[in-house]
Amino acid sequence: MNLMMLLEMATSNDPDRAAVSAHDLALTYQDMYGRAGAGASYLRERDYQTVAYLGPNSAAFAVTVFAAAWAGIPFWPVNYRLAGDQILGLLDTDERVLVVAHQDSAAAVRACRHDVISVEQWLGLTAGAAPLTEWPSDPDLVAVLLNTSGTTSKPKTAVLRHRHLVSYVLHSVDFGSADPADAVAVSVPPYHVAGIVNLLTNIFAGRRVVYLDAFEPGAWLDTVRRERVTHAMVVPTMLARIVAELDGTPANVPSLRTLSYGGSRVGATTILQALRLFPGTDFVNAYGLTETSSTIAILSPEDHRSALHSDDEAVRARLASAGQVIPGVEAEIRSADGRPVPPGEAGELWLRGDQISGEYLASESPLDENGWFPTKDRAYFDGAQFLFIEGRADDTIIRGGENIAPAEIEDVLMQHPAVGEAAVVGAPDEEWGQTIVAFVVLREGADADADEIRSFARGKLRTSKTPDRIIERDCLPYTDSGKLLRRMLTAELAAGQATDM
Amino acid sequence: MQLRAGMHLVSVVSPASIIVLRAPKKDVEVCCGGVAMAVAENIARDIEVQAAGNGTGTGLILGKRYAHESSDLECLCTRAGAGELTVDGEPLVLKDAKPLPPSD
Repeated sequence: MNLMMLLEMATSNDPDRAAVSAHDLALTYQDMYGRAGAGASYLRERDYQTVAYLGPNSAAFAVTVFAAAWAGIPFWPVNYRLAGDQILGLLDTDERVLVVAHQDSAAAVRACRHDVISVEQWLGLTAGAAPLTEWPSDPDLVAVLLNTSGTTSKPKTAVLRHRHLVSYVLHSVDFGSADPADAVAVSVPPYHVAGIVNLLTNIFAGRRVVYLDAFEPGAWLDTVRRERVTHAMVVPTMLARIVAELDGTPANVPSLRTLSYGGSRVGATTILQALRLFPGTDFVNAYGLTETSSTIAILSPEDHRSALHSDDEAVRARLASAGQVIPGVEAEIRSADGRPVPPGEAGELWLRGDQISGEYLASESPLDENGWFPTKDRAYFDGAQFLFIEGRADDTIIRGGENIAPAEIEDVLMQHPAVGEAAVVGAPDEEWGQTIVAFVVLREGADADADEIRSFARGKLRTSKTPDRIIERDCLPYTDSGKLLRRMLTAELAAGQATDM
Repeated sequence: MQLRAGMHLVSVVSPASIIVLRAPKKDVEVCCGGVAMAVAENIARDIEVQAAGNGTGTGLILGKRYAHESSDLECLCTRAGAGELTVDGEPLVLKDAKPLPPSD
């Protein structure tokens, strides 16, 4: 089992089909296959143990993924948006690493201890004919290293092996099922698990990947129209920015059949607006983690439609769910003492399956003796097997012995007409254990005071869930894949830097 | 032979090869064109589809899933080729794909 098997199958099926288009280059399947082979022999001849890629989405990125797989060494996409010293810190390893760096990152890696080549050099040396070598079939080889976003703790390096990624692709994609005219617009960054996985699934389906090197909502809409994009994947912050860019005008993207979103929670308002602005497009919500090879649950287009048109409150609520668990994955909700809990009751989400890794570099496996992985996400199932994610278990606020999910309070705060963004965290408290602190960003031109927001929240939540403090901010801290950095807010509180509204 | 999910088997009568998606619990013999398939240690890089060997019967179609219910074997064809696929003498049947909506 090797990622190359996926590319080889797609290449032999239709060698001249377009595989990737990007700002730097367009490649057919045969081109990509040839470059992967040439890249692999370069990596092998020089005994590299890892190949790092530092740059935005590009055809060079796709070539590097497969060249590493063919050589049997890990591919490691590094976040090129990090500060120079952070990048140097990450790259400070004893392994023999080849760093393929985009010109904008050249300065950041000049002091790096490894061999560095530019994207242009890499594309030049992979342009030759593929030499006659074989790729290793050992399914346990490491395919990809990914630095997790570390929203609640120090970032770690997740390890995905060939068997994890190939299993996900084989379980969820029908080989060669895409029409030759199909194209998918990819704007998630290459160092995000979704950036790796969507390359693999779309290659296997035979769908052309159209890379956007940086996300900007106007450019995204232009690309969808110009390239006649049929499928697209965005993270929720991108969806919110597209909705804002459209400003109530329907999107006018007749080619776009499917828009999938995932990566963090989506506000109900955003998704309702998006459904209205993209009337001819099917929506898919995907939930997963880096450690699970991305998607483990899907809210399908039919689920979106039935939620939207149902009179049943429980069915309508599913619009905010992660949908149902995909084939090949088992899921269980467990209480703090490790026992499975019935539907309707929240606990920690545990997962098992061929695509589940859970492994981090230089750490013990977090899997239990039966192969179950604790996600650290707090979740529950409804009576019809729909999965609802409440957020990170570490983020759960325990106020007076009651478990409170910040998401529930954030959703209510964002229904207030003056509130644009909201983030809720717990603060240590002598009397209650923790109290509830809400950070809010007011909409432009809107005005509201703390009492008004609090009484609005109290009208929709129990008193015990009403924020004890409300703090106004100009903006909230997010990772660039759109995940809220709660630890920064908690740190500000602890340092006494936050003042009440 | 005890199969494992992820194991790669190659035909000796044609260019056909398969990967095991779900393995039976008990030992089985998987044949292509009536001859036992071999475990591939390294996958040859040559993707030119060679001329069909001396396999007979229905050929294997690239990217299709084949299953055998009573043994619980499921596999995927990774290279097309001639020869009927059997497990302990019984034919595997082509499985209908039930694709998920594209989420990536």
